[in-house]
Amino acid sequence: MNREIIERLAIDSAAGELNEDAETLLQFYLDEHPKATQWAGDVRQMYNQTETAIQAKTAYTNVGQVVPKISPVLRLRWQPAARWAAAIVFGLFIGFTAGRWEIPPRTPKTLIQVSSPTSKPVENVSDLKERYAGTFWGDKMLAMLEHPPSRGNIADLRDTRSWDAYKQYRKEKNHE
Amino acid sequence: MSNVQREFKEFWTRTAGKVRAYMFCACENWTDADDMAQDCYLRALRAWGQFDGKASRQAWLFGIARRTRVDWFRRKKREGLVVHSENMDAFDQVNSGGSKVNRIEKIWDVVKGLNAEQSQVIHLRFAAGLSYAQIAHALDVPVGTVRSRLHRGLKHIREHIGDWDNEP
Repeated sequence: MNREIIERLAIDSAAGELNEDAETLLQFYLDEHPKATQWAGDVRQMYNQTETAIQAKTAYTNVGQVVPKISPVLRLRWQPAARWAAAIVFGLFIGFTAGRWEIPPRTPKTLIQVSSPTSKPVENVSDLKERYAGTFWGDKMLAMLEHPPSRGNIADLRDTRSWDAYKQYRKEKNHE
Repeated sequence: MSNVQREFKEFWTRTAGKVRAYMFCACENWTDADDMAQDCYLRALRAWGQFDGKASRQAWLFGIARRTRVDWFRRKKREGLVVHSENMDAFDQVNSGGSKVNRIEKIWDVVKGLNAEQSQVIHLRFAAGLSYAQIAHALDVPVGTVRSRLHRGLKHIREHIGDWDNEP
């Protein structure tokens, strides 16, 4: 066997990768060939020295068991959490913006003036009779003053149109 | 704790030292080695159910470790960072004493100078203690290739150490 083969076999032997039969045969061969024994010895020495050197350099690893900084099992899966947080923040932003910039109810340009009657209350119908009796509209007015519409009728009217009455009430209320 | 978690924890306890040593060979920095090891175990945990059983769990794990190491190197290269060795002083203090330390340093330097294929095999063999078959599975190459790379790597080391030994 040439040197190359001897060295390969010696490395395999040092690594414990030769089966028992091959190991025995190699040993027989080396016993009979001193030169091959020297080659094998050199490469085995190199193998052992390399192993020693690398294990010495990485020796800190084997000093006790080093606990990982974060247990893989317990590590927070931050990506889904971040997505949820982003969605919540976005929703809050939209809600805040919508609330902040909502247009308030507009005030009508022309105000509706609800005036109260300014005429003085009629105290004496007979005085008016003297002035307006005999004319068409005067008779009408006098008849209304003498026989005003009953309150009950007005209340009935309002009940039948309660929604309109409520709207009118709100309108007046808003402009007070 | 579920069965998978218990099984994984036991596996981690058994292999963490080897993985860290393997990572340290790449970066020479225990902080980075721990980060890489942790990244490796996270990947292993995610892929725990995908183990096909063609090789041992350990060989499967070191396949993941190798890819983690490659990714780490790529990331460092992108970031333009230089790998530094922070524990060399501490190591020298612990192992104070002459020629043995010098020889260890020499061998270590030569191993660093090997090409990636050879150094991977050397690291997996000597730092992680994997068998040829396990290395072959981790690197996804035939066993004969592992044998050749180990042989060429050791030959290269011997040639360089021999040169140093012959220096005055």
